[in-house]
Amino acid sequence: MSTALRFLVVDDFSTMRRIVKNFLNDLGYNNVQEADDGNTALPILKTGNVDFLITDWNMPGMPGLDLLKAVRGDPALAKLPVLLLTAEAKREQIVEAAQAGVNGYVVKPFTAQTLKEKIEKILSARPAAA
Amino acid sequence: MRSLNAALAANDGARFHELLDQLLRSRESLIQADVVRISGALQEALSRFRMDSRIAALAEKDMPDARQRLDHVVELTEKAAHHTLDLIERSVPLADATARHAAELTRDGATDVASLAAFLVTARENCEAVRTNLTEVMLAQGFQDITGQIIRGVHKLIGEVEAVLDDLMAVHGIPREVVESTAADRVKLEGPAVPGVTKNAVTDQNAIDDLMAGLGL
Repeated sequence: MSTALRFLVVDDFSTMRRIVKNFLNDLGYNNVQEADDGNTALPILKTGNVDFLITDWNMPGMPGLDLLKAVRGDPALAKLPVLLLTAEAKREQIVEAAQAGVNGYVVKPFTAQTLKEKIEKILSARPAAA
Repeated sequence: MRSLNAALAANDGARFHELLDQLLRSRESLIQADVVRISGALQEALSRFRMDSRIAALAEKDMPDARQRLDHVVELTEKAAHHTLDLIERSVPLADATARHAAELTRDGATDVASLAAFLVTARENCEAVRTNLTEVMLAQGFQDITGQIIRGVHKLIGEVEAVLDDLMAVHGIPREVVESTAADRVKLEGPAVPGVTKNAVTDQNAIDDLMAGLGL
Protein backbone atom coordinates (compact mmCIF):
# COMPACT_ATOMS: atom_id res chain seq x y z
CA MET A 1 0.00 0.00 0.00
CA SER A 2 2.72 2.45 1.03
CA THR A 3 4.68 1.75 -2.15
CA ALA A 4 1.96 3.55 -4.11
CA LEU A 5 2.95 6.80 -2.40
CA ARG A 6 3.97 9.55 -4.80
CA PHE A 7 7.09 11.52 -3.88
CA LEU A 8 8.48 14.80 -5.16
CA VAL A 9 12.20 15.39 -4.59
CA VAL A 10 13.34 19.02 -4.89
CA ASP A 11 17.04 19.86 -5.01
CA ASP A 12 19.13 22.07 -7.29
CA PHE A 13 21.87 19.41 -7.46
CA SER A 14 20.97 16.63 -9.89
CA THR A 15 23.29 14.21 -8.06
CA MET A 16 21.40 14.66 -4.78
CA ARG A 17 18.05 14.21 -6.54
CA ARG A 18 19.38 11.02 -8.08
CA ILE A 19 20.69 9.71 -4.74
CA VAL A 20 17.37 10.37 -2.96
CA LYS A 21 15.36 8.93 -5.86
CA ASN A 22 17.49 5.75 -5.92
CA PHE A 23 17.15 5.41 -2.19
CA LEU A 24 13.37 5.81 -2.35
CA ASN A 25 13.30 3.14 -5.07
CA ASP A 26 15.28 0.85 -2.73
CA LEU A 27 12.64 1.44 -0.06
CA GLY A 28 10.01 0.37 -2.57
CA TYR A 29 8.74 3.81 -3.56
CA ASN A 30 8.91 3.83 -7.34
CA ASN A 31 6.74 6.86 -8.02
CA VAL A 32 9.25 9.69 -7.63
CA GLN A 33 9.19 13.00 -9.49
CA GLU A 34 11.95 15.63 -9.44
CA ALA A 35 12.18 19.43 -9.46
CA ASP A 36 15.19 21.72 -9.17
CA ASP A 37 13.68 24.51 -7.03
CA GLY A 38 10.44 25.76 -5.48
CA ASN A 39 9.31 27.46 -8.68
CA THR A 40 9.40 24.24 -10.67
CA ALA A 41 8.08 22.19 -7.74
CA LEU A 42 4.92 24.22 -7.08
CA PRO A 43 3.17 23.50 -10.43
CA ILE A 44 3.86 19.77 -9.92
CA LEU A 45 2.44 19.96 -6.38
CA LYS A 46 -0.64 21.84 -7.59
CA THR A 47 -1.58 18.94 -9.87
CA GLY A 48 -2.40 17.08 -6.65
CA ASN A 49 -0.31 14.08 -7.68
CA VAL A 50 2.19 14.24 -4.83
CA ASP A 51 1.79 12.56 -1.42
CA PHE A 52 5.16 13.39 0.11
CA LEU A 53 7.57 16.30 -0.47
CA ILE A 54 11.28 16.05 0.20
CA THR A 55 13.03 19.37 -0.39
CA ASP A 56 16.40 21.03 -0.04
CA TRP A 57 16.45 24.51 1.53
CA ASN A 58 19.20 26.50 -0.18
CA MET A 59 18.27 26.65 -3.88
CA PRO A 60 18.44 29.47 -6.45
CA GLY A 61 15.02 30.70 -7.50
CA MET A 62 12.59 29.67 -4.78
CA PRO A 63 14.30 28.19 -1.69
CA GLY A 64 12.83 25.26 0.24
CA LEU A 65 11.53 27.32 3.15
CA ASP A 66 9.52 29.54 0.79
CA LEU A 67 8.21 26.40 -0.90
CA LEU A 68 7.19 25.04 2.52
CA LYS A 69 5.38 28.29 3.34
CA ALA A 70 3.64 28.24 -0.07
CA VAL A 71 2.52 24.65 0.58
CA ARG A 72 1.22 25.45 4.06
CA GLY A 73 -0.52 28.54 2.70
CA ASP A 74 -2.42 26.60 0.02
CA PRO A 75 -5.54 24.91 1.46
CA ALA A 76 -5.28 22.08 -1.08
CA LEU A 77 -1.68 21.30 -0.06
CA ALA A 78 -1.59 22.44 3.57
CA LYS A 79 -1.53 18.91 5.02
CA LEU A 80 1.16 17.55 2.67
CA PRO A 81 4.03 15.87 4.60
CA VAL A 82 7.22 17.87 4.05
CA LEU A 83 10.73 16.72 4.90
CA LEU A 84 13.58 19.22 4.69
CA LEU A 85 16.81 17.61 3.55
CA THR A 86 19.40 20.34 3.84
CA ALA A 87 22.93 21.37 4.74
CA GLU A 88 21.56 24.39 6.62
CA ALA A 89 22.08 23.51 10.25
CA LYS A 90 21.94 26.63 12.38
CA ARG A 91 19.78 26.36 15.45
CA GLU A 92 17.65 29.36 14.48
CA GLN A 93 17.09 27.94 10.99
CA ILE A 94 15.83 24.64 12.40
CA VAL A 95 13.49 26.56 14.70
CA GLU A 96 12.32 28.71 11.76
CA ALA A 97 11.58 25.61 9.66
CA ALA A 98 9.68 24.01 12.54
CA GLN A 99 7.62 27.17 12.99
CA ALA A 100 6.88 27.21 9.25
CA GLY A 101 5.35 23.75 9.64
CA VAL A 102 7.98 21.26 8.47
CA ASN A 103 7.33 17.62 9.43
CA GLY A 104 10.94 16.45 9.51
CA TYR A 105 14.45 17.89 9.27
CA VAL A 106 17.43 15.87 8.05
CA VAL A 107 20.84 17.49 7.81
CA LYS A 108 23.27 16.67 4.99
CA PRO A 109 25.35 14.57 4.83
CA PHE A 110 22.87 11.95 5.98
CA THR A 111 22.81 8.19 6.33
CA ALA A 112 20.32 5.86 4.64
CA GLN A 113 19.10 4.84 8.10
CA THR A 114 18.33 8.46 9.13
CA LEU A 115 16.40 9.21 5.95
CA LYS A 116 14.44 5.96 6.22
CA GLU A 117 13.56 6.60 9.87
CA LYS A 118 12.39 10.15 9.22
CA ILE A 119 10.21 9.17 6.27
CA GLU A 120 8.67 6.33 8.28
CA LYS A 121 8.13 8.56 11.31
CA ILE A 122 6.33 11.17 9.24
CA LEU A 123 4.21 8.52 7.50
CA SER A 124 3.24 6.88 10.79
CA ALA A 125 2.18 10.24 12.24
CA ARG A 126 0.00 10.92 9.20
CA PRO A 127 -3.75 10.66 9.73
CA ALA A 128 -4.93 7.40 8.15
CA ALA A 129 -6.89 8.79 5.23
CA ALA A 130 -6.60 10.18 1.70
CA MET B 1 67.97 89.78 9.94
CA ARG B 2 67.73 92.99 11.96
CA SER B 3 70.50 91.87 14.35
CA LEU B 4 72.57 90.91 11.31
CA ASN B 5 72.13 94.47 9.92
CA ALA B 6 72.97 95.93 13.32
CA ALA B 7 76.19 93.89 13.52
CA LEU B 8 77.10 95.06 10.00
CA ALA B 9 76.36 98.72 10.88
CA ALA B 10 78.42 98.42 14.05
CA ASN B 11 81.21 96.92 11.97
CA ASP B 12 81.24 93.93 14.43
CA GLY B 13 82.73 91.21 12.17
CA ALA B 14 82.74 88.43 14.78
CA ARG B 15 79.10 88.99 15.73
CA PHE B 16 78.12 89.26 12.05
CA HIS B 17 79.70 85.86 11.24
CA GLU B 18 78.15 84.23 14.29
CA LEU B 19 74.64 85.45 13.31
CA LEU B 20 75.20 84.42 9.68
CA ASP B 21 76.15 80.86 10.81
CA GLN B 22 72.99 80.68 12.91
CA LEU B 23 70.86 81.71 9.93
CA LEU B 24 72.47 79.13 7.64
CA ARG B 25 72.05 76.34 10.22
CA SER B 26 68.33 77.04 10.63
CA ARG B 27 67.89 77.04 6.82
CA GLU B 28 69.72 73.70 6.58
CA SER B 29 67.52 72.01 9.17
CA LEU B 30 64.39 73.28 7.35
CA ILE B 31 65.63 71.83 4.05
CA GLN B 32 66.51 68.56 5.77
CA ALA B 33 62.98 68.26 7.22
CA ASP B 34 61.55 68.92 3.75
CA VAL B 35 63.74 66.23 2.19
CA VAL B 36 62.65 63.71 4.85
CA ARG B 37 58.99 64.59 4.28
CA ILE B 38 59.26 64.33 0.50
CA SER B 39 61.10 61.01 0.59
CA GLY B 40 58.49 59.61 3.02
CA ALA B 41 55.68 60.67 0.71
CA LEU B 42 57.53 59.19 -2.25
CA GLN B 43 57.98 55.89 -0.42
CA GLU B 44 54.28 55.80 0.49
CA ALA B 45 53.29 56.62 -3.10
CA LEU B 46 55.54 53.81 -4.33
CA SER B 47 54.13 51.23 -1.93
CA ARG B 48 50.60 52.38 -2.77
CA PHE B 49 51.40 52.00 -6.42
CA ARG B 50 52.72 48.48 -5.80
CA MET B 51 49.58 47.65 -3.79
CA ASP B 52 47.35 49.24 -6.44
CA SER B 53 48.93 47.17 -9.20
CA ARG B 54 48.56 43.99 -7.06
CA ILE B 55 44.89 44.84 -6.45
CA ALA B 56 44.41 45.41 -10.18
CA ALA B 57 45.99 42.03 -10.95
CA LEU B 58 43.81 40.34 -8.32
CA ALA B 59 40.62 41.96 -9.60
CA GLU B 60 41.32 41.58 -13.32
CA LYS B 61 42.94 38.19 -13.51
CA ASP B 62 43.34 36.15 -10.33
CA MET B 63 39.78 36.42 -9.01
CA PRO B 64 38.03 35.60 -12.34
CA ASP B 65 40.53 32.73 -12.71
CA ALA B 66 39.62 31.49 -9.23
CA ARG B 67 35.93 31.58 -10.08
CA GLN B 68 36.58 29.56 -13.21
CA ARG B 69 38.65 27.07 -11.22
CA LEU B 70 35.86 26.63 -8.68
CA ASP B 71 33.33 26.13 -11.50
CA HIS B 72 35.61 23.38 -12.76
CA VAL B 73 35.60 21.81 -9.27
CA VAL B 74 31.79 21.78 -9.28
CA GLU B 75 31.81 20.21 -12.74
CA LEU B 76 34.38 17.54 -11.82
CA THR B 77 32.62 16.54 -8.60
CA GLU B 78 29.25 16.41 -10.37
CA LYS B 79 30.67 14.22 -13.15
CA ALA B 80 32.34 11.88 -10.66
CA ALA B 81 29.14 11.58 -8.60
CA HIS B 82 27.03 10.79 -11.69
CA HIS B 83 29.59 8.30 -12.97
CA THR B 84 29.61 6.56 -9.57
CA LEU B 85 25.80 6.52 -9.51
CA ASP B 86 25.77 5.03 -13.05
CA LEU B 87 28.05 2.22 -11.90
CA ILE B 88 25.93 1.58 -8.80
CA GLU B 89 22.75 1.52 -10.86
CA ARG B 90 24.39 -1.03 -13.17
CA SER B 91 25.57 -3.19 -10.23
CA VAL B 92 22.44 -3.27 -8.06
CA PRO B 93 20.32 -5.30 -10.55
CA LEU B 94 23.16 -7.83 -10.92
CA ALA B 95 23.39 -8.33 -7.14
CA ASP B 96 19.59 -8.46 -6.87
CA ALA B 97 19.31 -11.02 -9.70
CA THR B 98 22.00 -13.25 -8.17
CA ALA B 99 20.36 -13.15 -4.73
CA ARG B 100 16.91 -13.81 -6.23
CA HIS B 101 18.18 -16.73 -8.29
CA ALA B 102 19.95 -18.23 -5.25
CA ALA B 103 16.79 -17.81 -3.15
CA GLU B 104 14.74 -19.63 -5.82
CA LEU B 105 17.19 -22.52 -5.91
CA THR B 106 17.33 -22.93 -2.13
CA ARG B 107 13.55 -22.61 -1.85
CA ASP B 108 13.03 -25.39 -4.40
CA GLY B 109 14.99 -27.75 -2.15
CA ALA B 110 15.86 -30.59 -4.48
CA THR B 111 17.82 -28.54 -6.96
CA ASP B 112 19.10 -30.47 -9.95
CA VAL B 113 22.72 -30.25 -10.90
CA ALA B 114 22.01 -28.66 -14.28
CA SER B 115 20.18 -25.61 -12.80
CA LEU B 116 22.84 -25.30 -10.12
CA ALA B 117 25.54 -25.28 -12.78
CA ALA B 118 23.62 -22.66 -14.77
CA PHE B 119 23.30 -20.55 -11.63
CA LEU B 120 27.02 -20.79 -10.94
CA VAL B 121 27.79 -19.54 -14.43
CA THR B 122 25.50 -16.49 -14.16
CA ALA B 123 26.61 -15.86 -10.55
CA ARG B 124 30.22 -15.77 -11.70
CA GLU B 125 29.41 -13.47 -14.60
CA ASN B 126 27.41 -11.12 -12.37
CA CYS B 127 30.14 -11.03 -9.70
CA GLU B 128 32.79 -10.27 -12.31
CA ALA B 129 30.69 -7.44 -13.74
CA VAL B 130 30.10 -6.00 -10.24
CA ARG B 131 33.84 -6.32 -9.50
CA THR B 132 34.67 -4.37 -12.69
CA ASN B 133 32.14 -1.69 -11.71
CA LEU B 134 33.63 -1.43 -8.22
CA THR B 135 37.10 -0.90 -9.69
CA GLU B 136 35.65 1.92 -11.78
CA VAL B 137 33.97 3.42 -8.70
CA MET B 138 37.37 3.38 -7.02
CA LEU B 139 39.03 5.13 -9.97
CA ALA B 140 36.23 7.71 -10.12
CA GLN B 141 37.33 8.89 -6.66
CA GLY B 142 40.46 10.27 -8.35
CA PHE B 143 38.52 13.54 -8.73
CA GLN B 144 39.48 14.34 -5.13
CA ASP B 145 43.15 14.71 -6.05
CA ILE B 146 42.37 17.19 -8.85
CA THR B 147 39.73 19.17 -6.99
CA GLY B 148 41.86 19.18 -3.83
CA GLN B 149 44.75 20.77 -5.71
CA ILE B 150 42.50 23.38 -7.33
CA ILE B 151 40.87 24.26 -4.00
CA ARG B 152 44.29 24.60 -2.35
CA GLY B 153 45.31 27.05 -5.10
CA VAL B 154 42.20 29.15 -4.51
CA HIS B 155 42.83 28.94 -0.76
CA LYS B 156 46.30 30.45 -1.30
CA LEU B 157 44.83 33.24 -3.41
CA ILE B 158 42.29 34.09 -0.72
CA GLY B 159 45.20 34.36 1.73
CA GLU B 160 46.82 36.88 -0.61
CA VAL B 161 43.60 38.88 -0.91
CA GLU B 162 43.37 38.93 2.88
CA ALA B 163 46.94 40.29 3.10
CA VAL B 164 46.18 43.03 0.54
CA LEU B 165 43.00 44.00 2.41
CA ASP B 166 44.99 44.12 5.65
CA ASP B 167 47.55 46.45 4.00
CA LEU B 168 44.76 48.63 2.63
CA MET B 169 43.19 48.92 6.06
CA ALA B 170 46.57 49.80 7.57
CA VAL B 171 47.18 52.52 4.94
CA HIS B 172 43.78 54.04 5.68
CA GLY B 173 44.18 53.60 9.43
CA ILE B 174 41.17 51.31 9.81
CA PRO B 175 41.56 49.03 12.85
CA ARG B 176 41.01 45.33 12.30
CA GLU B 177 38.21 44.53 14.68
CA VAL B 178 36.01 41.49 15.03
CA VAL B 179 32.93 42.32 13.02
CA GLU B 180 29.76 41.34 14.81
CA SER B 181 27.22 39.56 12.63
CA THR B 182 24.19 41.65 11.84
CA ALA B 183 20.60 40.49 12.07
CA ALA B 184 20.53 40.19 8.27
CA ASP B 185 23.59 37.90 8.38
CA ARG B 186 21.93 35.62 10.87
CA VAL B 187 18.95 34.76 8.66
CA LYS B 188 21.07 34.48 5.51
CA LEU B 189 21.50 30.92 4.19
CA GLU B 190 25.02 29.74 4.86
CA GLY B 191 25.12 26.39 3.12
CA PRO B 192 26.93 23.45 4.69
CA ALA B 193 28.18 24.07 8.22
CA VAL B 194 31.98 24.32 8.33
CA PRO B 195 33.78 23.43 11.58
CA GLY B 196 35.40 26.53 13.08
CA VAL B 197 33.49 28.88 10.75
CA THR B 198 29.76 28.35 11.18
CA LYS B 199 28.56 29.48 14.56
CA ASN B 200 25.60 28.00 16.39
CA ALA B 201 25.41 25.00 14.06
CA VAL B 202 23.66 21.75 15.03
CA THR B 203 25.26 19.28 12.64
CA ASP B 204 24.56 16.14 14.62
CA GLN B 205 21.26 14.56 13.53
CA ASN B 206 20.51 13.41 17.09
CA ALA B 207 20.83 16.98 18.37
CA ILE B 208 18.51 18.15 15.57
CA ASP B 209 16.01 15.43 16.50
CA ASP B 210 16.14 16.58 20.15
CA LEU B 211 15.62 20.20 19.08
CA MET B 212 12.68 19.21 16.87
CA ALA B 213 11.22 17.08 19.66
CA GLY B 214 11.52 20.09 21.97
CA LEU B 215 9.46 22.03 19.42
CA GLY B 216 6.79 19.33 19.47
CA LEU B 217 7.85 17.53 16.26
